[in-house]
Amino acid sequence: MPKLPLKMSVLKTVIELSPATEQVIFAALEPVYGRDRQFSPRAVEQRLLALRAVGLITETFPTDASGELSPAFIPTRAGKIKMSKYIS
Amino acid sequence: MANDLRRQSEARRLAYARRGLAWGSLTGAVWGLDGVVLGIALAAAPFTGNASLFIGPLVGAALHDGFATLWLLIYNACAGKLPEIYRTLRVRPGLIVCLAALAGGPIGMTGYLLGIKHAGAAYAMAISAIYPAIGSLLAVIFLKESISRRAWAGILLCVCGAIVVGYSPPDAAMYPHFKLGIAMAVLAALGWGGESVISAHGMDLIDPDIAINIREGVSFLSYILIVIPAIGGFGLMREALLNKPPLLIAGAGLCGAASYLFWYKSLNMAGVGRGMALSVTYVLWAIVYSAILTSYEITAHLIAGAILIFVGALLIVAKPSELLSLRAPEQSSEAGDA
Repeated sequence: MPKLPLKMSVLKTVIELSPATEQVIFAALEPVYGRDRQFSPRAVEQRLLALRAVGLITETFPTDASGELSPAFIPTRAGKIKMSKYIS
Repeated sequence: MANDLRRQSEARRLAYARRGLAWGSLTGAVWGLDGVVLGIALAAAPFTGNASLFIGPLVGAALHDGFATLWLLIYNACAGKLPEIYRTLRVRPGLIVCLAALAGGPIGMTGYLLGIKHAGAAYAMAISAIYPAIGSLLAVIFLKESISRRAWAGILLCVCGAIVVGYSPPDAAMYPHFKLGIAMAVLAALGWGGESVISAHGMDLIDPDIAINIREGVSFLSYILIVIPAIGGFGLMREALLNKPPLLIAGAGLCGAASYLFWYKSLNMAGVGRGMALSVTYVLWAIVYSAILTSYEITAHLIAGAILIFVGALLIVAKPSELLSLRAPEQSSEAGDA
């Protein structure tokens, strides 16, 4: 399947792995975008902030395996609708 | 612990929103320079003489967008983002940005120039200056954008300031197709206001850096394939490119590329209403640059308009915490089913 623009892939990954931390999202995208010069943890962080600002994803604070709270991202209803509309 | 994490998250989002406002403010500063440099270029050969009031500016606009596309391609190549352009053009949000390009480029600019031709610069500039208000209204309706009363007041003050700066008493007898000119100026405001909302919709899923490169490229192509052949402007374009090195237009294109890049970033990061209103501060900056680079006379109504724009911009940037959620709650509602 051809590669999607990075921002769309970040949203798709949040939907598929929800709730997903930044590190999990980066690791999931690395095999696909790892050779892109633009791809970095900061690039993923910036896209998460952009998606958060327009209300397509939101943050939650679930407990991880070691019992610590960690920030993770989940899609909003608007995010899911938008993604299903633009990706068949 | 959870509260600490929430506070950290909010601080990060607040910093992001502040950057959006900073991009918006920079848009005005660079766009003002773009207009002054382009104005100097269009006042020189080959755009003077036989070039009519209409053909010269449209050829200039086409060349400007062509150079802006080139500069943005270089910028995206340096940032390692060229593959993103191809990926973006293959998805629907990319095509939505192409539509925005048509609204803002050929439709907006042609409407503006026809407005000047048939109704005079005073009315055309004043009417087209309402585009931030139109864009904000469309953003509230179609994107469910949240705009506070204070931000609305700021947007309206910026619009009023731009109208005050652009207005001077016209000579109605000079314009037999005055109503057509007014309609064209309204079309320009609708085109530019529509562009911002359509592009912001597309940029929900694609990067502003890529969106603006596509926007400028599509706008250039539509000039070359439709507008320039329709007005018979290839001769003038050839003359501009061959007989006189178009360094000034290339320079204006560089300013245009930077200002449009900043504008699209601010539309995406700070919202359409605030991004558009901050972009109107170009009027204020254009006065400053004109006073420095040309023999432009600073009049009382210019100062009054500049003060209105300045106060309006202050109202818009006063409380960045309002930008933590750009869209209304029903749009950005926390997904209960996630």
